[in-house]
Amino acid sequence: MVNAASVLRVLRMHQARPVGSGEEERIPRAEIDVATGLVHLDGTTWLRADDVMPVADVARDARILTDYIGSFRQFFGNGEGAVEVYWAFLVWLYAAPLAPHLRQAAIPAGIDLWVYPVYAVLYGRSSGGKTLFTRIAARSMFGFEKMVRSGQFTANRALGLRERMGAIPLLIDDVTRDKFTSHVPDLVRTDAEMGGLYAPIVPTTNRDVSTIPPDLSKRMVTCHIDAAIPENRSSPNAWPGGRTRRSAPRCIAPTCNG
Amino acid sequence: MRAEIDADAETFPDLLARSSVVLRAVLEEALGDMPGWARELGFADYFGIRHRRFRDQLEAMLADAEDRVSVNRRAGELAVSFGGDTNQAAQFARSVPDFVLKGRFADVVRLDLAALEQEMGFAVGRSRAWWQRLLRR
Repeated sequence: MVNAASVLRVLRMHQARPVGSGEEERIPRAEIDVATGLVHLDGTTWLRADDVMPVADVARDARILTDYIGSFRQFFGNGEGAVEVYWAFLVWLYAAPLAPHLRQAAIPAGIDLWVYPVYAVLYGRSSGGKTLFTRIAARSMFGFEKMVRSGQFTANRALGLRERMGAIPLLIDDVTRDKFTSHVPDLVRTDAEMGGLYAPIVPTTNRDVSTIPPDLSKRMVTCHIDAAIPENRSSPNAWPGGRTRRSAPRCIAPTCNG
Repeated sequence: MRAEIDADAETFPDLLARSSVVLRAVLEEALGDMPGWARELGFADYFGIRHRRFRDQLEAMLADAEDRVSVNRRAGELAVSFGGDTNQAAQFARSVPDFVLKGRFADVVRLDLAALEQEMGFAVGRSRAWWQRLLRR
């Protein structure tokens, strides 16, 4: 029988469905084959462990990245703390695609899975550079980023996406408090995925999320940004440090350098 | 690292430490000089970063509200009173790491003194103005 409750139930099931192939915009996939030292992007070999990157390109990207991170010192608030946190986040993010591989081995060895986190959350003041930093960091790994807006975010959707994206980080932007409390615990607390390859998930929150509960923070890399820059200082067409969008780093992650 | 795990190493292979070493090497080779902030870090450092928000909050509270904080060494606890504001107390309690939180009753949050001192690095003194001597780091 069709009634209001059944329609609502179907609607909610539809909204929370696993990612469908037809309706979703193109979903890239990267695979890291540890045994052979190959990285595949959308099914084709993208990088080999013995590939050598042009020194000038690496130097250019390294300079952009360090200038960018260092520029957070100019922010109001705890700029030094922001630099330290963003560095820690970058260190985690570049290694995170390998965390599922290590978690597989950690379970039979009795090692706590929390030491190989597959989630990170960035929260704190608005205009602290959280969204842009995650985008740049993700782009520097494979040359592009995949981001889901808060309104489209559900735990089920994120789980579906991470399976399909493989090693490519899944960014979830500007997660509201309601979304955070209703979906992130489902995602993080009950995660017992045994697969060896799935995407690290990185939600950034809006200002309404002021604390991360301990049951989540012990399972996630939590990055609190207590620094901000006025809107009139941040140009949408320029990265901090005066670089243009075209020159954003594309391939500095250790995975890109073998 | 996977082989290290399979070989039953005594301590877990530290992925963050390995990542920071590799990334630093890439930066050093590319730039010649290393920014001061690009330091080596491991899981233990991440632990500190994870709880920084709580540490900052507690420091600010201790600095501003002398009469709201009491230390009971016999019970091994530090109690923070929120002056009747149970919502603030509840919100603060939610940010306290599990191993530090002893409990909350109404507007009072009770913290484990040993956990604060030994794990979080707080140097809680005995005198009334102990928070002025707070913080080894």
